[in-house]
Amino acid sequence: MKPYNTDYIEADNSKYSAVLGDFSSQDIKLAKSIWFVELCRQLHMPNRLQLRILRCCGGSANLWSCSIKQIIARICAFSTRCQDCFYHNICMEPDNRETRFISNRDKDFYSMWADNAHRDQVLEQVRRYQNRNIFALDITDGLYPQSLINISGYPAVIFCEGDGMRYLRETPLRVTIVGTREPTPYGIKATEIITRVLAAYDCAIISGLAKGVDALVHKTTLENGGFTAAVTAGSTDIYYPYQNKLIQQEIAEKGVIISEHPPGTKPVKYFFPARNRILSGIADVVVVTESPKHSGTLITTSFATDQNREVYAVPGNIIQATSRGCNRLIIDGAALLDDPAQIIDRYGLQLRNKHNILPQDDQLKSHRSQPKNDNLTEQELMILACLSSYAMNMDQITSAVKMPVDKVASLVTGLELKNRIRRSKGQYFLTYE
Amino acid sequence: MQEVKYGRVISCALNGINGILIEIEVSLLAGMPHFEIVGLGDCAVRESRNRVYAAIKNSGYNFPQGRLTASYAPAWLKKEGTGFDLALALAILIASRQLKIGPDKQPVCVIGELSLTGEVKPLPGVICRVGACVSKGIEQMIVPAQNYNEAAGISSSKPYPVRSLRAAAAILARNIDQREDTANKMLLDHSKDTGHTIICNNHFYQHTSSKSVNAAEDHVYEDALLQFSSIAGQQRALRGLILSAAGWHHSLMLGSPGCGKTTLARCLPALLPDMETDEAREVTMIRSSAGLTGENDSLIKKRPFEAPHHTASRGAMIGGGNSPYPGLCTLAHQGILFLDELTHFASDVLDSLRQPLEQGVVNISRFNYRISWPADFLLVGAANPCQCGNLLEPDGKCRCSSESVSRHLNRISGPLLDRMDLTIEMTRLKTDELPNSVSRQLSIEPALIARQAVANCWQRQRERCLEHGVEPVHNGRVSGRDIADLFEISQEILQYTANASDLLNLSARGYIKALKLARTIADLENDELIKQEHINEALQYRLYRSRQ
Repeated sequence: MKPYNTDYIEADNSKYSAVLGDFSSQDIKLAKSIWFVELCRQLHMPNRLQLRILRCCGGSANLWSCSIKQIIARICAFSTRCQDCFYHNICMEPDNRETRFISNRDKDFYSMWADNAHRDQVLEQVRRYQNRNIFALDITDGLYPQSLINISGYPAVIFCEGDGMRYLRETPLRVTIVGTREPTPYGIKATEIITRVLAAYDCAIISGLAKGVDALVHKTTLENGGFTAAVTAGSTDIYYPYQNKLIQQEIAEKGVIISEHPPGTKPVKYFFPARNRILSGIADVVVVTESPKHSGTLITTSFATDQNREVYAVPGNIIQATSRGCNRLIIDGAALLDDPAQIIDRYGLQLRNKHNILPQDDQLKSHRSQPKNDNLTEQELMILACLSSYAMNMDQITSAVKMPVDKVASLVTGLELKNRIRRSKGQYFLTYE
Repeated sequence: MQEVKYGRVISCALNGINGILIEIEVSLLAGMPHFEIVGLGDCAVRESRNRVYAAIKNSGYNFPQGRLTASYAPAWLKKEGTGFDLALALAILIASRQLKIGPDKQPVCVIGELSLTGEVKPLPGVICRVGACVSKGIEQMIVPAQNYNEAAGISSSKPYPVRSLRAAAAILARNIDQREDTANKMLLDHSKDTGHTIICNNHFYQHTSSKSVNAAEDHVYEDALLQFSSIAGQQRALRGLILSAAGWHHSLMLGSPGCGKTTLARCLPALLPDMETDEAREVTMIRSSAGLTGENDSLIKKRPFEAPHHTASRGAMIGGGNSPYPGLCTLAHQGILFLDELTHFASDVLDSLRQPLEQGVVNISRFNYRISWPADFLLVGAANPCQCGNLLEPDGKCRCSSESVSRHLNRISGPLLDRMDLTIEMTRLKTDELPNSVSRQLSIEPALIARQAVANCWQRQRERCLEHGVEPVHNGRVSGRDIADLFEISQEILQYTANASDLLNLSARGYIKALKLARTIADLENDELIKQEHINEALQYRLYRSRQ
């Protein structure tokens, strides 16, 4: 066994001062952050240690050119107990020095920290993202979302694309609206109503940029001139799912996209639940518009309750499986949301544009009024009446209205063309106008 | 100068589904006893020496001594099978002066396999060979008695059924006007005409499908009728199938496992009208050349139904082989090709169906032959709508993500899906319908009504085509540019359909499919004009792909 050795390999970082001159300060920050995050990932460095290093050294920008000695000295200076200071045996306390031994992981740490190849690689990578407005924020930055800091396991560094971070931090309320990836017309309508009203107020609307409700939330907010932020599972420059590419680009322009992964990271399965903790953590209020019994949405809400966020759920039809998740949330103590005014009144939100006086009541009233049935035949009304309680498939409709199949088929398509019903997974749902 | 001992008989070989006339010459020369067949024969042809030797001896003739050479011309053509035995034996008899052909010297084509006792055995592809002879101007043929019905399917042919070598020799020896009587007489006292006692009475030999196909197809048809009548529930799917049959529209059935897709598809033969004589002849030729007709079968009237397993290879689907053999799509010509578990078929097998679906023929090119076979079939596919199969069930059991659903259906290539005019969606039977599904209905009334409706619909389509002076085709086969003209669709309806397909995100092909199907619906309801409700119903059968 070899006694602890203090002859570290120290990197010669002096050459980078010239290289970094080509980059803007934002990109330098980005490069240094990517370098730190990649290093942590390769070393499997636990989150609390990442946070500690960043806190002690004053951000990822400083770490780039720190020597190991300096880091350890700083951590020691900030720590009261010796075992707090580092995760392995690289303690520098004089009395411990003789008794500790170098492990392989420590060696990795030294050599990787000192290895300039990693720095070169990262600079190469950043060059590719130069023209995009991607930047990194670590916990020491002023723009790092305040609300994230008080959740457990918050990311040490987040990567953002867009200019909305300041607004996100300063706005009085951040609302996360999420829901199923396969919404029924009811879910779509509920999401639209809530998002449209909230978008008119001074608040940030956050969602996960997934298919279905998430994409709809972003789209509706953008259409109504609201502010929206997206938290993606992969990095901010990866379009996943690809259909949302246009929405994602628009959010990058008008709002902000947030991810804990450095640019170029494709999402893998376990990124999604991890993303959900940020989704709920970054917000003050979480709203679920539609969710079946098993859904990723419910992971977000369980994070939200752990993080002491308020959860609102839009109630649904008790017969329909597509509403079971939301109804369950209400049973478990989520607030029942039947009107976005609940949130507006609770937090005293102000209209975004003072001149634009939103006829909020009228708008809701029009949503709740029944669509006009003037131009429908009696048989069509019969089918609509069948579907009013819950969705049915063609066979069920046929046996319910007791008409020949060919007649029903023709009527159903007619209603579909009149946009009174919509099909999803073989079932027909009433639409809401 | 030495006297020439020479015999010549015409026979017919089979190449794919085409017969090719073969001249069999036998020359008997002086020398050591020797028997050789030349002219690219396969194993079965070479082995025929032994059968012919025994048959000649056992029929009471003498096998000539000396050097015997048989030549099959044209010599460049590969010859296969056992169909030349009888002709070879007769040629030997002629060469050895034991048989003298009737005085009128009219050419007679001889086909048939010989047993060792001198009996004549049935053959595959008899109708193809008869057809080839008739087209070459040879009307008289000697055919195995078991294949007589099949041979008689070609009008203007004059087949003489024989059961033995002696009968064939007797017919050839007569003049043309006596041949038919001779054949009938020889058939009647067949037991005597082998010439001596047959020692072995056990006839182990059986033709590959000696059970009559005509009888079997009647059975299948009856069964399908009963099956159709006993279907409980699934009215929507039945309607879809009737439409599919009425307009010859390819269809795709989507439904959870156990909802009755296969059962329904097997009813389809009962809905289709019988074949016309021309069609029947063509189909019989195809199936006969593949050895799929049985003894004493005449023309096949009922439409074929082919249901291959999903491991079928491309060759099996399209045809081919060392010597051309028809594939499933040709065997299903004028009938139904049912592909169960469509998503599990190899993609290249499914893609190979694109040419036959488009053109109704399949062109096979190999280094030694190029063949074009008819392949105009009604394609019916069945598949689960998603990996777990429960996508369409109302209980919401399906946990497949939308990506996995689209991945599942993407296993069927787009061009193939495009050609499916109907998508029939099915869900499992409800509990109150289940008891009916296990009791057997004895009335076949509903099936007969449906069948009559389909037949009427076909008649209407034929008449409309004739009125417009075009070749009669089914609605499902009308090409896109003829639709507006032939179907007499008003501008208003065309516009309505265009708007509807815009709302429902349909492609141009989807638009055309809706029009074709609407025409069939209108035909089925005896409506001259296509109305909005017909279009609406037709749109109900579109393939639903999830939208964002």
